[in-house]
Amino acid sequence: MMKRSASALLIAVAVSATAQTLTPAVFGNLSPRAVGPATSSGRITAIEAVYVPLDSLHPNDRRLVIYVGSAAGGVFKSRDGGMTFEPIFDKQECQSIGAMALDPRHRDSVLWVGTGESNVRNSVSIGCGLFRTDDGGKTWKKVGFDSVERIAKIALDPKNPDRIFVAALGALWSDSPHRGLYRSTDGGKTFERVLYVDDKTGCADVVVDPADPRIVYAAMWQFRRKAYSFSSGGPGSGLYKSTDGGTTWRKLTTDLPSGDLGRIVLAIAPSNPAIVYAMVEAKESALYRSTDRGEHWERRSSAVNVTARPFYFSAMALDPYDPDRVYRLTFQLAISDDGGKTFNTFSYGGALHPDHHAFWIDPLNPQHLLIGTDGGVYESFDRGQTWRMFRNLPLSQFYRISYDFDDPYNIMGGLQDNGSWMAPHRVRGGAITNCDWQPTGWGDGFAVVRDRVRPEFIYFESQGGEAVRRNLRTNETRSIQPRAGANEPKLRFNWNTPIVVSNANPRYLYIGSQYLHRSTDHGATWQRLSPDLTTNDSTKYNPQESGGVTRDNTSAENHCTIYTIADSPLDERIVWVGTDDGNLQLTTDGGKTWTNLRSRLPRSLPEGTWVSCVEPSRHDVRTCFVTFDNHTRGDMTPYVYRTTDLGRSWQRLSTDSVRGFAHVVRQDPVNPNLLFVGTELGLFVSLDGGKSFARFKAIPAAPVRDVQIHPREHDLIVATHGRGAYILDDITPLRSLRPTMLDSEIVMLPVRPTVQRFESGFQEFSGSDNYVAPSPSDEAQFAYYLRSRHLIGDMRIEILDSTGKVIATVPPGKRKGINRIGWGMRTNPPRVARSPNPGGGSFGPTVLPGTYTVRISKGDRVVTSELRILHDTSAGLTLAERRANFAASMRLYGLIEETAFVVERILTLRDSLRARAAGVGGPLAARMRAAAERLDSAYYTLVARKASLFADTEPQLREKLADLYGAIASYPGAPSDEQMRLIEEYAGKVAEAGRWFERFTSDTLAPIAAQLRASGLPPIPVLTREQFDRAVAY
Amino acid sequence: MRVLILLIAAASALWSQDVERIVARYTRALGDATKLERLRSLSLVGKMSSADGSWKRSFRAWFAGDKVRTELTLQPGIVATTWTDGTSGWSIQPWTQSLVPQPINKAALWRLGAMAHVWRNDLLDLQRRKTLEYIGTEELDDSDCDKLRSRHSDGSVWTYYLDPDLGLLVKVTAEAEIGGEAVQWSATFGNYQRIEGVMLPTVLETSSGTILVEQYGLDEPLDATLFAPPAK
Repeated sequence: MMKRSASALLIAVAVSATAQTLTPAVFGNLSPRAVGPATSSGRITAIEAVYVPLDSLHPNDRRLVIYVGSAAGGVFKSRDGGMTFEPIFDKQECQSIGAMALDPRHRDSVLWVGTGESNVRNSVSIGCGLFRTDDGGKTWKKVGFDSVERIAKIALDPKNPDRIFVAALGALWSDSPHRGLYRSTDGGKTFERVLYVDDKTGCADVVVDPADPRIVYAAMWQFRRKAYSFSSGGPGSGLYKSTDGGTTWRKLTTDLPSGDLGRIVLAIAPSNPAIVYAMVEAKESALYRSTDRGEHWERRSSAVNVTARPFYFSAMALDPYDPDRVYRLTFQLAISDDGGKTFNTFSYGGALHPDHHAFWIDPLNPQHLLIGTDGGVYESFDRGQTWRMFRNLPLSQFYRISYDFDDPYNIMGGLQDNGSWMAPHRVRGGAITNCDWQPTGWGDGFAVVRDRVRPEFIYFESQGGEAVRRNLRTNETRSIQPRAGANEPKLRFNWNTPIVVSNANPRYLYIGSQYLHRSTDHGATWQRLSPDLTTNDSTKYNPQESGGVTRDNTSAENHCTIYTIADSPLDERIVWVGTDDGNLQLTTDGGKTWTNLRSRLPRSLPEGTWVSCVEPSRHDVRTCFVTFDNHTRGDMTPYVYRTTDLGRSWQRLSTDSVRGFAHVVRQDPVNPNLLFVGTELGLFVSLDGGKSFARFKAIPAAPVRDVQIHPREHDLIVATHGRGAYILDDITPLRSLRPTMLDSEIVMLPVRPTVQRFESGFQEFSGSDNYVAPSPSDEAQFAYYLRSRHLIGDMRIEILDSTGKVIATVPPGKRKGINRIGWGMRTNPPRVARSPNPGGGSFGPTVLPGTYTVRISKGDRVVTSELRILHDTSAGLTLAERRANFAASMRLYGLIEETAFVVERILTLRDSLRARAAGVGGPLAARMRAAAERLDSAYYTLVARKASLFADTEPQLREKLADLYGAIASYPGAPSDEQMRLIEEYAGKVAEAGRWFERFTSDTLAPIAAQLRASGLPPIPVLTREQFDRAVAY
Repeated sequence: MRVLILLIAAASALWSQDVERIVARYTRALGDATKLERLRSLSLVGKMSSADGSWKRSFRAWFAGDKVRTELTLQPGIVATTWTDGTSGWSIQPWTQSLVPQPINKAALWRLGAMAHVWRNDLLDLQRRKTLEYIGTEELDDSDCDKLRSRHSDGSVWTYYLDPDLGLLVKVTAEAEIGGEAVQWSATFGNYQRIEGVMLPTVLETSSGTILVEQYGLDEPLDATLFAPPAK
């Protein structure tokens, strides 16, 4: 017998009597769905792979373990050669990976991860130090390098892997003393800087001679990015060599280009370490080769696909057995078989995503290659002639995201170097797979929005404001980018140009250059609504001059442009515009006049800070939230402000617990105090209008570039720049949680009503290697908040119908914070007749739409909430039909149970007769055995005699009932006339079976009982319904 | 160098004190911990429920040392059964429409054994307690837990998550590599109640479903045939 322990309860009360503040734990098990896409994947920055023996008994059976480091989506691991991957770095404080290295002594166990990508494009993320795992990624230890924004390379001495070199590239957007080449000689316990040039120059590459590890080469790189320019190269750049294991260094210049150098990419031939390759960025960039360990160099190829964009293409690899076979990773994979003199560049006809960054050559089979691109990881088994993609890495990099009002609604957005895509937020009867993502645009993708007036139109863009309208019915496209007149200055569009459908008037479509443009004819023509809203500083918009020692202009450095646009949902005349050069502009008269609010912004905000998001309130026309992003000047502070007087005054929101520069702020359309802030390091939530924030840890600390809240479904849609899109279904519990509730032991939280769906899946066997994201749960959801983990004492959840009857119990969630629980909306399955065949009647009927009650008992506390279940009108069925179905299902449910009762009576009586006959003897025993045989025969008129998985059997009443029940209960509509007729027919058989048994007890059993009594023996009992209900229960 | 060695030794001693402190707190929280330490057999009767509550079935289990038997009633008279005599294991899987016992593979046998280990865990075993190491705290479901780890001779790694305030086990995970395959098992505990003087969980969440315990039997005599190999 269980007794509640009074002392245990006292402990529980004492422990929980502490004041609660907003922490990540408050969000409990609210878990968003990572919906991808993985079909596009995202930028890969590092690949490490190693064969490991299957186990000690099978040392020659190996499996390939692959680690994939990504631009801003952390590290993924495959234990099966890429068939499946799992993220292993999600709990760390940043997700941008710069470099990885496996310790060769420990197979796949010890992995070094340097964070902060070194392919320093305009949108690159930031790192947070050097990490090490000793258990293959289960746990991580941060080693240090906190202030080093990016780590370009980690190189281990192959003969003594405790000697570790870390190439600290350092900060991209500012000077930094935390650069240079670092060395550890004690396995990473301590590091010392062994090569440093200046605070503008980082270490971009390091390689160790595998034959003589005292010889080390390092590439130093002077570089700097600003919002409006990039500079690669300078006097700090150079190639260095050490012959004493990295203690002293000598700059190599012989035979190398003179003048300022840019980035240098290094590789040593494993098969002949005297041969070293260096791709040197210079005024005339070229690949150089040394055959005497770097003392002399020979210029080899200067082909564009060998030398292109060194700031972005910083990888080169050599065949392990052929020193002349060179793989240079740039736009395409350039392959040389003559020591870098000439290169073949394969045209893969779209099979292999361009822009390559990471490479692995199978040491056991150099035909086998892995390559990391801007669009995921590919594998080749023929030395790079053909490739297959790993479609299971959801590393896509969204810039912006939006939704439509289809049912199911679609989400849509643009991806870094992977075009634009849309996908339904759920798939009827199934999960969201790669096939459900539909491409809508090309290039680098940014804003994608659906026209609400003519939903066949979708607008997307590629870099620099190349806006296009696509007709989703016909797939025809039309360029709609506004253009300058003959005598007008060039229009300046940001790399990530805002295209916005008005919040207030769905006929309005906005786009920003330096001007605000508005179209009322679906992009065909544009009205210029403003003067130049930027600072129009001509020193900051000369992208053609950008690049440094080699020019690079892809519109990534376009500046003095409009970056964010939003009109008030409450007044279409009020439009807020933010620019990348720090102007915050407001019109309250539909664009006739504009006010630059720059001078009214608080002093806490550095002058000229990029305006990353404007978010006019849906609750108050005078309120607007704004995020500012100053990281392009080396300032990673999150700046989030609010005005309640149309910009006259501003309050800075308390962002002490917010990390990373801010991209976006959204106010909940229902609860004005619920705010979401997306930064470079994750998603943060406030319940109190910005007085406090806590990180929403269910989404990794990847850049959160955009956030939307679907007004019909109340879903939170989060666009990450590294882990694709997340959807947190139904934020009603979150928006209902008030700060004052956090001290409550338990509080029920409302949820949106559940629409009851009857959607079937499909037969599809697509293998293990595709990314699959779940659709939203079809269960009825309810939610509650717990102040602390429930561990001691009883806690139970019951579902009650409108009469107060308990119809289901559900295992409780017991974690601290919000617990969202699902109930399958089914009653317990019917009790079915004993049979060799376990099939049939294995699920209960789905309850009718209506209002139910959730009752939670936690110790002595009882809390309740309403649970509303709605009829799905989209199926075209009436509620009356649904009720008819339920009535028929329940009728069959009752018949199945009645049959089970009759069968149980037959079987228990049969067994009793057989057992008692053994102790009686004589004619009575024979009579009893004969009676038992009659019961046995009767049993097999109700239940199939045999069951087999592969052979049909003659179905009897039990099987027929179960079959009909399954057919009716799995469909929401009214049963057919034929089905109703069968129900009545079967009901007659059930009643007949009951009557037969009653007759049997009076005609056959009663005389036996009389004889037993005459012999002084006890009668044979017959099972009653009460006994059946007690004994035969699940 | 000597200072460094002393510091390492001191840190190691503190670490060991952490293990002792956590184990002591655990045994205190259990109440009559000796009852579990001396446990020879344990049985439980309850229900196994799907996470969404849409089905619930009678569930029974018996444990005696390394011997385990579980029974899940699918329908009246149809019971999914798995058992081990501590060396080999068998199962009856009625959904295959066969009631003939089939031997189970090594991974399934290991998982079955893991269930048995929960009741006589490393925290209660004087010999195995010496192998425990404290590996810090970790947020489990966003609440801190103390973590203890031990490595068994079969190569399996056991991690115990204990509530730092109440001292009780919140979760146990076990990992092993069997035939080159990574095998895992875990159970999360809740609704602890005092039963015959000892705190026992009445809700156990496993990957197979949630077990809602209605009745425990501690050290009751068990029929040896429960664990016996099937008749040939």
